[in-house]
Amino acid sequence: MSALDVVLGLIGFALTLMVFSYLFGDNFFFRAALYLLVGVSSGYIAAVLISKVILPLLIAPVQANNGQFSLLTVVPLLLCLLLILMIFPRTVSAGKLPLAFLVGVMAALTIAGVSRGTLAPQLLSIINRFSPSLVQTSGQPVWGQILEAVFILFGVVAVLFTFHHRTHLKGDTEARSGLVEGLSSVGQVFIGITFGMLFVGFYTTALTALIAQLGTLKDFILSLITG
Amino acid sequence: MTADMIVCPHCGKENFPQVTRCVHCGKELEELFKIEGVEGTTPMPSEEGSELPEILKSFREEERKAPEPTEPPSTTEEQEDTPALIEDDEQSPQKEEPEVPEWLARIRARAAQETDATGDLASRAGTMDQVQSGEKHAEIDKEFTSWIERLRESKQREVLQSARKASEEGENAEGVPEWLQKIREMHPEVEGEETQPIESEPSEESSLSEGAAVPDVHESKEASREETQPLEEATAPTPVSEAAQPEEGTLAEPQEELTEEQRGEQLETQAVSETKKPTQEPKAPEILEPIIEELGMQPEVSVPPEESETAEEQSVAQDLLLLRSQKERAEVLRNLIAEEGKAFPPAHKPKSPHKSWYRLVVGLFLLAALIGTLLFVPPPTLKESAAPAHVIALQEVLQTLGSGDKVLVVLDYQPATSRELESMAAPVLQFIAERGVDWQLLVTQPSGLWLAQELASTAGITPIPEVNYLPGGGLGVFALAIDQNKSLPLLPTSLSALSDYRAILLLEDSGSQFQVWMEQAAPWLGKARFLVLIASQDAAVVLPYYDSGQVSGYAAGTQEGALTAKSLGQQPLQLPHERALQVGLITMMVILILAMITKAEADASERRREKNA
Amino acid sequence: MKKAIPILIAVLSGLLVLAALIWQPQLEGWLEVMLNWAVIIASMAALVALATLLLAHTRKIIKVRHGFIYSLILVVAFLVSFAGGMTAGVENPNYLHWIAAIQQPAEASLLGLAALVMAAASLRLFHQRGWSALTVSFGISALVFLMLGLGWLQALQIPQLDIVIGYLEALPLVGMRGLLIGMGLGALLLGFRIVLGLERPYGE
Repeated sequence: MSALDVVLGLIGFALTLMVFSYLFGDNFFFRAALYLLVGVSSGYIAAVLISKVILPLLIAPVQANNGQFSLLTVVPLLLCLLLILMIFPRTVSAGKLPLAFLVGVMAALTIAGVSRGTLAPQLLSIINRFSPSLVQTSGQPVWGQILEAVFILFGVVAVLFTFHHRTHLKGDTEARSGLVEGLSSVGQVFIGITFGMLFVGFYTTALTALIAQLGTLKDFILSLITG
Repeated sequence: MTADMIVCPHCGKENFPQVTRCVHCGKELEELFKIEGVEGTTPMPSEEGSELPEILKSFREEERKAPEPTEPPSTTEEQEDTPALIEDDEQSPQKEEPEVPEWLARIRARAAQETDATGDLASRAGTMDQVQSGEKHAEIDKEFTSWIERLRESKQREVLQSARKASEEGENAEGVPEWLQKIREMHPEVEGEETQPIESEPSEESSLSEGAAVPDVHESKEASREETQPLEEATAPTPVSEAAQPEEGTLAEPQEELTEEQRGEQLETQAVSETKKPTQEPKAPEILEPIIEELGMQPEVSVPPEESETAEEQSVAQDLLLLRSQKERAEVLRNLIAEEGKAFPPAHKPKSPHKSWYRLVVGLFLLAALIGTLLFVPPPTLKESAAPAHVIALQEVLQTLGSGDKVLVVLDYQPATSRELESMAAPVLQFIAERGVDWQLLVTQPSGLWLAQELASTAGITPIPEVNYLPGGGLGVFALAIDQNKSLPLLPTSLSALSDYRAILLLEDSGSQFQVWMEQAAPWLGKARFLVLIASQDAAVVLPYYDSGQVSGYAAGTQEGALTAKSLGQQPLQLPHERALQVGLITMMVILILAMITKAEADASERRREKNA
Repeated sequence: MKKAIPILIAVLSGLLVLAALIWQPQLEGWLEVMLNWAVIIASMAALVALATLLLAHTRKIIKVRHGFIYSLILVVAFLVSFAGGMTAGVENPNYLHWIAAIQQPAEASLLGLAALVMAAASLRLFHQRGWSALTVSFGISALVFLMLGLGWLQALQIPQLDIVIGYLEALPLVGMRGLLIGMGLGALLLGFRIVLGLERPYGE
């Protein structure tokens, strides 16, 4: 192991211990590790954004035109200058224009993307399970497929009803109707099953990261000991 | 937490001053808006000035005075302006009681109970009052008259304006209303006499009333105005609001907020206070008589002057106290309305020490178990097991790739999950490299620049391929998907159009980033293009997209990654943590079962306790 | 009028992008220009956010407020990594080696810490949330998937068991699909509200 590897390994070891010190409660070491990570990451991201985006896409076109400004270069330049003014409290409202433009573009892409990429395929997938080619063979119904299709349709509807919050007055209190409450309970079961899988998945990922990091530390210490 | 917390009268717990309902028992904090000692009465009387006649009645009952002075013609209109008061007054002879009204008696009784608390203050206040008695009584008198003025205004604004005009016509050059001038002409010594009962009879009640009133001597000019605000606002909020506004928040600078008329009255009162002479016989009821008649009320029972003067002073001060408390409550109501819609400040929740213990014990136990497993338990061999359908689908698509096929490998994960994804991706990269597939690397995160190098070195691929960075997140992905001609400057130049690639292999650790590719790129490329290697945490997110055919195949987690590698004929990266992973999973199972058991136990013991109780 | 200009810009840009997606051949050029500008503005917005963060911590250091030492660590780390990136280049292997040596162990340790905290929090889960359809189904589902995650049942290689395991692993599909559709509808509604000027997340 080279000296640089040793130094970097020691830094990693120290950072790991500082982060795990959180088990004893919030303390200086944990916070120092957090702030160090944030500082290094943000400095790195700033350097990447400037060298990979701002300089080639904003500054270089102007330089390429020998300082001549065209509409395609001056508009983003002006909008970026307005954004920079947001840093100062007095001119923070100047950033509304570029942010409005960005928000408008992203909203339009969200509309197109969600409808074509998620809603339509998922809804079609529910409907396609009832297609004749799946639910019948040689004129005979395939009950397994039919049940599966009905089960999925019912489950999805129940999950959607879980988020239905419209109420009506029942005596002195506002409450949902009985049908909605029943469907909502069923939907909660399906959501609980999904959350269980997500919980185990996240725990497994976190555990894998923990074990991998402990393994790395073990290897580093062993290499230090053995030389 | 502020010091001004309100105690709920029902459950005795503390609440923020802005709330109208107790957050603990849910009951309304009605007492906040009720007049102390006046139980069962509406805090905001619907009829304008309905409280006023009772107060005046009490004055009349206690002190009987001389015959009524003649009414100036200008006051006739003001009489007509107060039909409600006239109605009340007409009813008042029937309702009138020879004694003090019950609500007033309760107020006084309560004030008497509070004497001890303010005793010291009262004695000092009494001394101060003796020094400033002349000013104070003039101010009290002025406050009372201005209070009556405001009541008129709140009832009918237009008529009052004309009445003011009439009164202005009747005003003298100094701006003094004619009726007040007449009162003063009739009783020039009354203002000075009024002070004497308080000076000469420092009884407990009077000292109390003085003591309670005097600390506010600096605010006294505004106090009575503000005290009458709740009453005014209750009777006619809209017209009163304009009248009340000048008094709001004027403790520091009262004179700036005064209306013209009030300013005139103030100056006039000051002038009067300088010129008044102290007299021996307070004759407040005589002052009140013309006022009462202006309001159209009939003078009632006369009260012996000396006793009535003392009692009157006491009742006036106490009633001013009452009105001051009303004013405070009205201010609270105003603050509450102003805070409407704003978020409450987050309540400070003290950290429970139990949480730290649980975290420390369980965390240390788990850490110890994992370290012990890593150190002392040998890594297991990979067992043969049936691969899930989506892993088989992934393997089948990869098997169809051959030499010359273009594959785009998208590196879209964070450093935290790099070990897991490298163990899954490295065998696949080795496979497609062996197959002669023309593959390119694309990163969408800044950290991908060095993660790509680590992945390549883990997979043993040399030379390290060129790493293309795509900025803009979802915007960049969409731009890459639609730009068939590669004309966008933000796109990496060495990349082909997305439609040119036989397959796109996504290395993901975030469900939301995966969805970005499904929503911004997949609709433009058609189906059967995407292969996914994803961390365990987002396996559930990929499932619907695989079921709908948007993803050709995927593997989630190191286990499925190892199965994929084996099916491709590659040596899976056996990180020596399979046993440790199992130890961690078993620990979590035990913890969940323990949690259910302890909860059931706690519920059972609570039910037993309730049964026994 | 001042307030209307950002709304107008948001509405026009959104409608123009939607129109370009529908009439792509005719408006492709405009779409590419707007995408280019949007990426540049998004990157600049990220830089402005980082600058604001840096300024806030610098002010804390100058005024020597409580916790200024952490701000000092952050600012120094930022300046060193930024200066290193701008001078050596963001693709320099040695520079990336240093960045990796700090980012990788810190982030992996934080994620590992999440596993420890999750284990501790699971002990109090049912005490805090009580019994309900959601919590009971969550608990049972978690136990089942933890068992499946061990890999012991799959290793038995019993065909009938494999079929059952397949169904169990596909069961979350229903809930996840419902959640995706629900979230998608919400995102769609929000997008329409922004494009129509009813929602203004960029400030009034």
